[in-house]
Amino acid sequence: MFGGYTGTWLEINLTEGTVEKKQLDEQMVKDFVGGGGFSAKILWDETDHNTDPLGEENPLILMTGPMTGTLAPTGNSWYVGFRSPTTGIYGEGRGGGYFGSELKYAGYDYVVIRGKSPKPVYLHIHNDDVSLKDAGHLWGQDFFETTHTLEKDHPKSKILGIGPAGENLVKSAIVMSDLYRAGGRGGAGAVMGSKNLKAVAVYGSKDVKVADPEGFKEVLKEVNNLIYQHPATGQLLPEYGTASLVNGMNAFGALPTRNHKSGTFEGAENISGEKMAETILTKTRGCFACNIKCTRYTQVKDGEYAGVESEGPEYETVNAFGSRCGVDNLEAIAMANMNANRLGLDTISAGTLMAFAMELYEEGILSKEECNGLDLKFGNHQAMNTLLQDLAHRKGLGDILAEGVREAAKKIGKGSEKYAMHVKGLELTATELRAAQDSGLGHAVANRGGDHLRPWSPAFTLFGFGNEEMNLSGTPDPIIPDDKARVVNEMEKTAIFTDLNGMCKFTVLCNTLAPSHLAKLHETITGIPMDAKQLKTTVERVLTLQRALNLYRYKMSPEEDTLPDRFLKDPAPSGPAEGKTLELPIMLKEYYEQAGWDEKGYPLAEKYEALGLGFVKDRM
Amino acid sequence: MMEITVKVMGPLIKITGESTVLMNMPEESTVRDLLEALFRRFGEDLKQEVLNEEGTDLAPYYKVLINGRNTKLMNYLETKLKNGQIVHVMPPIAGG
Ligand code: SF4
Repeated sequence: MFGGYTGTWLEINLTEGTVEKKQLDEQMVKDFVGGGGFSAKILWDETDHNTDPLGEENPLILMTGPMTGTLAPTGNSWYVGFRSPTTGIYGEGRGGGYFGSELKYAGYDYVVIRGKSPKPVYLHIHNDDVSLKDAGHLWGQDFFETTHTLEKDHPKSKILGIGPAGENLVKSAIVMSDLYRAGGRGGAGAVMGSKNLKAVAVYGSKDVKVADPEGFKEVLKEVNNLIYQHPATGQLLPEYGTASLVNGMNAFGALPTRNHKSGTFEGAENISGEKMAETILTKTRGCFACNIKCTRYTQVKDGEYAGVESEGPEYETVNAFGSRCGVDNLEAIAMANMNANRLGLDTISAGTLMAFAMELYEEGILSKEECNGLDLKFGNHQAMNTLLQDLAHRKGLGDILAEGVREAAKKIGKGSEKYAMHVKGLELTATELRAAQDSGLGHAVANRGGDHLRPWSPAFTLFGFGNEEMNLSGTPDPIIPDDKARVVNEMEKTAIFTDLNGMCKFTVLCNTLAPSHLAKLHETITGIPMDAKQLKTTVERVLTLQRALNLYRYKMSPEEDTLPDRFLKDPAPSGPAEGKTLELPIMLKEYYEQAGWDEKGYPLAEKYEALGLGFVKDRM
Repeated sequence: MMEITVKVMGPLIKITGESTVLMNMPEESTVRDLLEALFRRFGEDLKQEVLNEEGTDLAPYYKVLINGRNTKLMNYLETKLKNGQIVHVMPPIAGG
């Protein structure tokens, strides 16, 4: 077997209550590496548009990558793959912490979970001992409680699981690990809940072998130096975390405010990273094998929210529960962050849902009565925190929002669709897209829907982090569409490659590491030849398969590569993009061309052939 | 005279003591003039933080924005200011 892999995976059938150990397929490794590559292939082979995302037939794929559990910088990621109940298309997510590495140390590269258990269970893995155990006592507990209970029963184990939101099949429910780590936007938590699987507890004591230890050491020296010397990964993320973006994004008019109505928030300073450092920040933390350590730990000592403590909130969460809801109270945001972690909710989608409901209330589309009696105007943080609980427990309006913003708008009607901020059903994130056109394109084409991480191109277009090897230099103009397709195309190569391998995207987010560095890490760890060119082909193969999965298996129309009218038709009301809309069609055309797709957005038949995806052609 | 609102962030707040600073500048002043005026008001510490080692340009990844637009997309430090504009002096920022 190759280095970096354990060579074994687990197949769990919850309906039958069985556990099987299986050998890793070497061709899969060469073609799809791990993470979302493996997930896409498994979903391609096993699912289609008839697969009920919350039915027994939807597999939940718990993945790692070859770098997970190694000393590659930030080699700590676990992934989930599934057909999303929120979007109906490909679903995936990444989490950090310690769980992923532990799964590798127990001897497994990944776990495919099938079927549905007749009663709540959790999966216990201790090296070769793998069993399903009764989780009746855990059902109903929040994720913190579940973790503490399981840690008592299985000391040293790392815990992954869901909170009440997942149990209640809330479409913005996420999978959590290591108390505060989250992955699987688009309802991975609901898929897990639909299977009556509450948690996975894993402990392992094996090694992950590296193919070329000497070569790996050399590359490590080089990449770690780059990480330490780069201002983003060596200084800014460790010192300030991600929340220093609040003031920066606001200055660029790119801080989504009041359900994306505008990109400037008058209360930004009150919820900024600077303010956090002055008030509620108590310490910094990092995931396994991380030499960046972006994580903040916060505690509210007095006032209305005294007692709140959690990791985070990071930038996306501050924006989601902050300016997007018109809230300028950092302690209220910390409360929402902690509760989202406990309830097992995706903070990004939950924030979008709150903001959506607030706008409907202010527009008179929802009455106070329909808002569970809450005075749901923008800025009312008490109401926001109450509605968050109602969302997880499907109470009143929470039950409608629990279907995701696209479905909620359909149900509410009365023109509410225009206030639903999503792409392909997945809620939007923390960038005002008219002020960073590239990010608009990235969101529109992301295979899982409204996703800011494929890639986070504002790192270059707003904040100026370029990279010579990637031909990203100079000062791009963020409010015009020129050259943005190339930027997204270039940056998604490194972003996605980290996601196949088990690294955290923060190693490449600000273009610290380039394709050649990632390729060398991959090659020395696995022993599989890889250079920058092969890396690009590998990423293209994976992205094209995910695209094909959406188009042919799940019957998605490429016309869904679009954004809400708010960005395409309503001119930005303030900030540097004032008066401008997002020029998506120009960027899409260029992006399709560069990707080898036709003008409608279908990959060309010869593209599948060239990427070794000939099997797709039978289904076109 | 023109009134310019200067906003600073991150480590710069420690030097200026506040995040928003009002500056009165003569007509026709440029970004460079504004920076010099800020350095006169807040001292060497600010200059050392904002400019490169040689003192000839902004320090790496530092930006000056006028009304949210990077001055590199205009005449950079020679861009002329107008009354009522908001100028951000932005240190390197990372995240995502
Ligand atoms: S950079 Fe942050 S999220 Fe990424 S591995 Fe390190 S601590 Fe975890």
